[in-house]
Amino acid sequence: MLNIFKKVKKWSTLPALVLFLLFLMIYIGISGKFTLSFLNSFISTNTPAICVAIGVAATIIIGGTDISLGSIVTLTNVIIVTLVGKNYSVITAVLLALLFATLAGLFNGLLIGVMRINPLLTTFATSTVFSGIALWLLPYPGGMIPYFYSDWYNSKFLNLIPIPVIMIALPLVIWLIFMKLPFGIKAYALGRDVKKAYASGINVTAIRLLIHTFAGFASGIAGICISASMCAGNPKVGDTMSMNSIAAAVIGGVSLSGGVGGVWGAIFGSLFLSILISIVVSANMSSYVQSFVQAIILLLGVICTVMASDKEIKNKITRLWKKEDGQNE
Amino acid sequence: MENLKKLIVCLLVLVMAVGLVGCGSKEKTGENASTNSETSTETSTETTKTDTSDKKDGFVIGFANGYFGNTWRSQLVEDFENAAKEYKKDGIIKDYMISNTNNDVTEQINQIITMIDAGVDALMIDAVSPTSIKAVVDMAKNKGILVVVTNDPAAYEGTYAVCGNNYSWQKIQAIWLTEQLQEKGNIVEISGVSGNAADILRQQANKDVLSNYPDIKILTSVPGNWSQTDAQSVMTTILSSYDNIDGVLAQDVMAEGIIKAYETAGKTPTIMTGDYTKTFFQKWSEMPDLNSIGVPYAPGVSATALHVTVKLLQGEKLKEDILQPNPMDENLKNTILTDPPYVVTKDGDPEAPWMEGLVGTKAITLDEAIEIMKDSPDTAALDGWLTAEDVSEFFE
Amino acid sequence: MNNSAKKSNDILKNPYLPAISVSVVLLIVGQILTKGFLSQNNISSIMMTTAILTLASMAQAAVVISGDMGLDMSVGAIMSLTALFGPMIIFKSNAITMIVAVVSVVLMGAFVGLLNGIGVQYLKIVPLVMTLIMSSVVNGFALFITKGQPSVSVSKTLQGVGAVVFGPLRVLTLIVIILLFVLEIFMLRRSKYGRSLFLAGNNRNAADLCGINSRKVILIAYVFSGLISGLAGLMLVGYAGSAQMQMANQYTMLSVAAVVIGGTNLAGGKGSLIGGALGSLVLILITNILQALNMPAGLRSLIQGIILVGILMINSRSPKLRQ
Repeated sequence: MLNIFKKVKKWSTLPALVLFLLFLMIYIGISGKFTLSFLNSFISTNTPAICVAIGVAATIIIGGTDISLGSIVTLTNVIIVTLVGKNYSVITAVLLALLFATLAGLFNGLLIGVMRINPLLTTFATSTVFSGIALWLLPYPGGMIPYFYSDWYNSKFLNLIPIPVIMIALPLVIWLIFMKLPFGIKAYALGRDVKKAYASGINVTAIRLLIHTFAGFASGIAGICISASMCAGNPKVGDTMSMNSIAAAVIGGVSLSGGVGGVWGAIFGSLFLSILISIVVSANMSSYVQSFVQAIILLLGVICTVMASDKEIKNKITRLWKKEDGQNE
Repeated sequence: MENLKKLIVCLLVLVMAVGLVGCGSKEKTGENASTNSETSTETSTETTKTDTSDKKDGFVIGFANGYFGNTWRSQLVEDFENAAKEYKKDGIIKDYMISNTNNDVTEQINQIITMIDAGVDALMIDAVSPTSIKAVVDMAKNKGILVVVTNDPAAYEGTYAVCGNNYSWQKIQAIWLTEQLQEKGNIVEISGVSGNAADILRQQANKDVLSNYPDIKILTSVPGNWSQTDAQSVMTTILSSYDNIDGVLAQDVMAEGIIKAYETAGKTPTIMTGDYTKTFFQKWSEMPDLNSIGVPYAPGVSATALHVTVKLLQGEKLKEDILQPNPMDENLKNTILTDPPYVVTKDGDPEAPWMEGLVGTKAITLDEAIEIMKDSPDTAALDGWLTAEDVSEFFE
Repeated sequence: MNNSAKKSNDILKNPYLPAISVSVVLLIVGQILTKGFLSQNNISSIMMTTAILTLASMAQAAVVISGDMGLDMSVGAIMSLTALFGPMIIFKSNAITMIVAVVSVVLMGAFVGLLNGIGVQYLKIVPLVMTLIMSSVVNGFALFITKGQPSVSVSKTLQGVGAVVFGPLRVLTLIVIILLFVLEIFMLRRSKYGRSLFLAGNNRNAADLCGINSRKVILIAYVFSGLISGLAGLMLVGYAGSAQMQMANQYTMLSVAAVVIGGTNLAGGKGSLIGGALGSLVLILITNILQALNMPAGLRSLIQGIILVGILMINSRSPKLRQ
């Protein structure tokens, strides 16, 4: 049973991985070089987006969604800046903000798990609430975090592993632990079929509660990273992250119907989206074409991934090839 | 079977890739490093721009624009591009890169690191928000790349900024309004997006000017968010609540919404600050009873900024008193503030009190404005910029 | 005695009652907070903005009813597109070019809706993602074609949608009200298509077994959505008198909220167009009041969010799994 799950997960990640690697090579081709410093900046810039993608993937896998994660990122950033402005130490501010982010996720979990409100609607409403709080606390971009914060973010842990990678590892490792526990299978089962999961005794409410809290935590980490990048506050910083992360997850093979895909796919999907941006800039396309091309490639990317994992289409192609040369697998 | 599926996916992806590379509309003239298969560690940082003073041409410039949702921004980018193309013809610029995003902080940062990676000599950035670009500014400075913040101010040590002077821009209109009202009456103020740096400066200008006229009462002040539809909506509510409005003090991109609110209510506006688009000028010319003023907040600031950037790259030094305090940080004197290219009124009086103290601003009539714009698209803004010769006045 | 008790019970159970009563309360609150709120001019303006949002919510309602977590996130983008291109088609101020314009924008919207429908039904891409990406494509396309500088003069005929018909009733409002009732009755309630739509939304498999071509029915829902969004964009630009890039983008999320407030179930198979109209009214009233109060944007957003959460807690809870 576990093996089948592992296989499905692995397959669904493949298109995103292929897309990312291919487009990375295209970028190298167009720009003519590949420096370590670019890779470094690329990862540290996109760490927040990757963390959010991990969070959103978790909520999608259990059969729901969460479009409020971007606003939780914003809220985290705003809280850090506000607390630092009130003379809290940076560490305290960061930890408190992370706590609030996790609580925000818990709030989502309560509405979705306990009150059983539709996840899309809930998180639509809560995103307005969270970004409203952020905008109220910090009506316009400003505030200042001491620069040693960004120095820390750009440094390496034990002089070996860059901090951004550690930040990505935090939610990722937690998720992997989830997967090793029986919790993991239950989560996927829940995503596959709510009623059957409930019938087999799975505590649906608890899973939803936990996963949405986790998503809040992941967004909090993202908020910590983006605060380090800016060393200041911006009440709209996370606006586009909510939808972008969902696109990343879908490209990564996480099916919105639930129970399919893994966070690795979301990570690669996120990387793919970002490298696409770099390619469009690097290829020096005219301004008016840039967003159109980006959107079309995104569309093709999603079609690719969805088709590659769609059973019906796989079967059709299988039958086609079997007919042609009567070969067995 | 697994292999087949992988093959099909790879083929689809390859098709996409070919299409993408084929789409690139310019040849990438950057260098092709022969070592592109290895990774190269960062070269030790050279010192800053003073080192490039030996180079007089062949520069590569990147322009990162943070918002692309309206005509004004398109003009901003187009003005930059036109000026850059001229430089390219003379070989002073070897190549330029342009990127656009719609208020997406992360996307803009990605775009800028791509430009840095491509080896630009200078970065002109119109940031999504004044606080969002610290990381890339640091990166650029470490690599000796000149950073010129363009249009929307942001304050970072070691950079320059070239921005329109929001304060004096709004001041012109406020003074004009007080003159039209003959220093007394009831007005309503319609502001931009609350909390935006430009909005804060403009509201301050209004406040400073109006503090000298105690007989002018502000009935209410509401944000119009620089949107015609929002302005129309708030003006409708205002018209329903007050019937003694003598004048409207607004900002740009909202005049047509305000007029529409009046029309829908069956009233006509008499005195209101206007806008600087072709459609507004046409509308104004059809309303003989309307007393208005159009002061362009010119997107051409990008061209001005480019001239400044090129000169800085060529190693020239700015004059002592040219740099002013950055609108985002008074203690940082790194900004060149530009005045509007024109002031449009029905009679175009160059001696009017609101024209005082402006540099390079021409007073023109409504008819002249319409003539200047006769070939422009409808939504275009009346535009203008400083030429390279004008800009050289800033340098020693 | 019994009869009248039964009648008042029925009235209380009317699904539109919450939305109607909330609207009345809001109107009163508005008048208390800002004088002139209930003036003819203000009411007519509120009705016009509500009318435009109603069109958007009608588009959204059709897709949501079609089931399978149907959503159309491209409503705003389509509206922005036709708001830009519609006026370009009306180059003369007469009735014939108006008709041509209306037909063109409707076809434009229907085409995008068709693409959405194909993506959802044949390529099996989830509606949320398909329509979301489509909205990026549409926005990018508009930018590409107009080079960011559209040439849009809105003719007087089109601006005529703001003309007064009677009291606070304007042409635009009247058109939408008529359309609303016609479509509600003849498309949703009395037609075979309507019944098929509800069935397909409710239980796709059962509908297929009943001989309904669910695929086609749902596809038509998406085409309908695009079509109505196209019309809404034209109305919007007629009302506003001028066009800018992406001027209607906020309508997407608003239409979803309106549909939900109006009692349409996001899971599909249940709902109405009139509900969407009432939801629109509530939303516009809330927005207008908050705007008139001039509170900081953050607080406004927060309050709107809390209200929405409150409505959801009352309205939209799924039944306990135990059943």
